[in-house]
Amino acid sequence: MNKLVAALSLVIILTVLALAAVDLHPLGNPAHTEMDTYFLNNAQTELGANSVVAAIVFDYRGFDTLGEATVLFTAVTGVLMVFWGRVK
Amino acid sequence: MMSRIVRDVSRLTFPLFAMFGFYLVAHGHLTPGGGFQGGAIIASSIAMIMVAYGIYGLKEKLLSISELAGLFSFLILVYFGSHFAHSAVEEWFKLPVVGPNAGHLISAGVIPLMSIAVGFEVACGISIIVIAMRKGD
Repeated sequence: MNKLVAALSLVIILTVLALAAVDLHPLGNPAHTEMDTYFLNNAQTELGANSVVAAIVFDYRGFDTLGEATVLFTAVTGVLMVFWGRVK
Repeated sequence: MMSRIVRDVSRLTFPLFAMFGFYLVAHGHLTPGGGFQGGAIIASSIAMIMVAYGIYGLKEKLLSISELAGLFSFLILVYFGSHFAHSAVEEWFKLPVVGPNAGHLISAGVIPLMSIAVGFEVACGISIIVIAMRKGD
């Protein structure tokens, strides 16, 4: 009984996923390209950075990078709380 | 403290590791890499020297304060790197924000400064995690 349920649910999930994969948007043919084109064309002249990735990470999406740095800080704080925060 | 071979090899390769990490951090706006990756490489060099020589003499409190300083400097740079303060940063640090010299080491305004701040934070944070796990208390 359990194996029958497992096999049925596997078949159903695989079918749904295969249908979704067939229905995907084709690769290499993006629907919206305005922002990418803007970054590639204007990153060097606007910011002076040769690396477009650095321009996006540190300027266009600087707030996101601040969040990443805060996530790392929180992780370090948690690890230090585990290791150093024992009540004597 | 490990054997003589490990100690000597790690002592020989530590400057190369650290130099590569600092290079990645400093050239974050020119080449692939940046603060996170370069900081991780610096932290790995510190972890290597720590594995070889032991943790005696390392100052964890200084490292944690440095990590906090890196995060706060990045916070300040995010505020001052926003649109209204590009000119202010240009005035204070005498850095050309935009211009014909894209590709030089000193260019791109606040981006290398933010990269350095993030590299500082990541290097200190990961090495302090490694030190805390090694020390255990």
